[in-house]
Amino acid sequence: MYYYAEPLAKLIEELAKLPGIGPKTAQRLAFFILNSSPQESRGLAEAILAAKEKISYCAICSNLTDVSPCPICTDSGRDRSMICVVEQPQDVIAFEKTKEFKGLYHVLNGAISPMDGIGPEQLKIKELLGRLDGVAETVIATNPNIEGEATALYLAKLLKPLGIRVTRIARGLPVGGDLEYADELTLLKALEGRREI
Amino acid sequence: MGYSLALYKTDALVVRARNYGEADKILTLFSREFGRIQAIAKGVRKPKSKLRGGVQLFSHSSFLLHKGKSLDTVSQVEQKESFLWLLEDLERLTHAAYMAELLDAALWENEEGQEMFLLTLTCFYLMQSLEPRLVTRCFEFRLMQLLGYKPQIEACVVCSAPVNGEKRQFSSDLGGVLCSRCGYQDHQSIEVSGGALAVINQLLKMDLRKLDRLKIPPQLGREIERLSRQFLMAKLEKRFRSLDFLSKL
Repeated sequence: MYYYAEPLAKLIEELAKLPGIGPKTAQRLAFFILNSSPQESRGLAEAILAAKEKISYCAICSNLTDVSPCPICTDSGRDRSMICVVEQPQDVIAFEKTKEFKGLYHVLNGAISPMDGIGPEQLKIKELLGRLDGVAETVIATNPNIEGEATALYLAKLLKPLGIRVTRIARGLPVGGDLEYADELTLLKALEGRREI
Repeated sequence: MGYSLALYKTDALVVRARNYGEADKILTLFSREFGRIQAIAKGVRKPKSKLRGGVQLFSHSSFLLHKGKSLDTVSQVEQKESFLWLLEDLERLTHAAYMAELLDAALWENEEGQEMFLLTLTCFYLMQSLEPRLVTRCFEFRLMQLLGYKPQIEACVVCSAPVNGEKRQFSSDLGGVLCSRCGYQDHQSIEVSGGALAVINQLLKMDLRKLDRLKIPPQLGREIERLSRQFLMAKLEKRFRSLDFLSKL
């Protein structure tokens, strides 16, 4: 029985390791790459290598960056007295899109999850404690789920005794949502955090 | 098989929730009627999801599930209780996570567990006002009792002689106390005080509504904690991850 030539089989095998890619999709992608121009496939291969080699964690905020410290940490126009603590690099992008937050970030790279054995020592918490000089407020912007709340509680316990203002981002109803479908907990939090208009 | 068989309703607690794919979650449910159920809740990590509220960890909700080959799918859910107090205190949260982990190890698919369900629900409610450690101890021993591992604490497990006064050992493997003559039967048995045994007896027997009246001195509490951990690990044959975290709090 003859299946695929060795290099092609290898490509399919490697592609199939990616998340969400099954053997059939891997096959289709491999054939697409084979049929593309040499420049295109070289571009893809080089992009993968370059990303892998050049991207590392920022020495200050633990965000992913190609230069350490990252451009946000070195930006002199930013408010250095405020740090927004998030779980993942994607969350920094989400906040940057709002164009509202002018402070610095700190990426924990995870959240505390007792059931999965992820404790504070696996997160970039030590790094956060090491950069609190001149910081007046930390905004805890972890996800509003169990793990995120546990992380927020833990950080509050740690940071408050240091005399730093610790705030938690508000919880409430999503824009464009329906009240009818909101769960009680979210409604309760939305009511607690109501504001005068 | 008619269509009506594929959809079913159940009252359940969410004891485990793992992220899956882009925005889904795979849940382990503890159902009052059907025991352990694995179900997928699609799109629940998106802000506009209608299911999101009811599938949060520890929620007590009423589920409408769609029977699947390996996983059932959550079709509708209505939250009955969110156990907010478990989520707003790190210690309570970790204790609840430990209880959920115990359940995950103890439950079987499609095995009705009405009593165990009520025990869990009661303990989650008790956590609101009582010391979480006390509730967890009570949960541990009662869970073992319901699983058929009730520790024998009044008489020696080997020779059935009443155990009192002198030196006694507790054997996790044999599931109870050993008198001074039978102590050699299990080399891993640990020494246990009469006070600890009396408290365990209370934890197993007393009316849960009166649990707040049980006051355990710290030293005795630590002794019972050590004993129950060894006992649970021996019987459920599992290491519990939340315990590591609990010891660091």
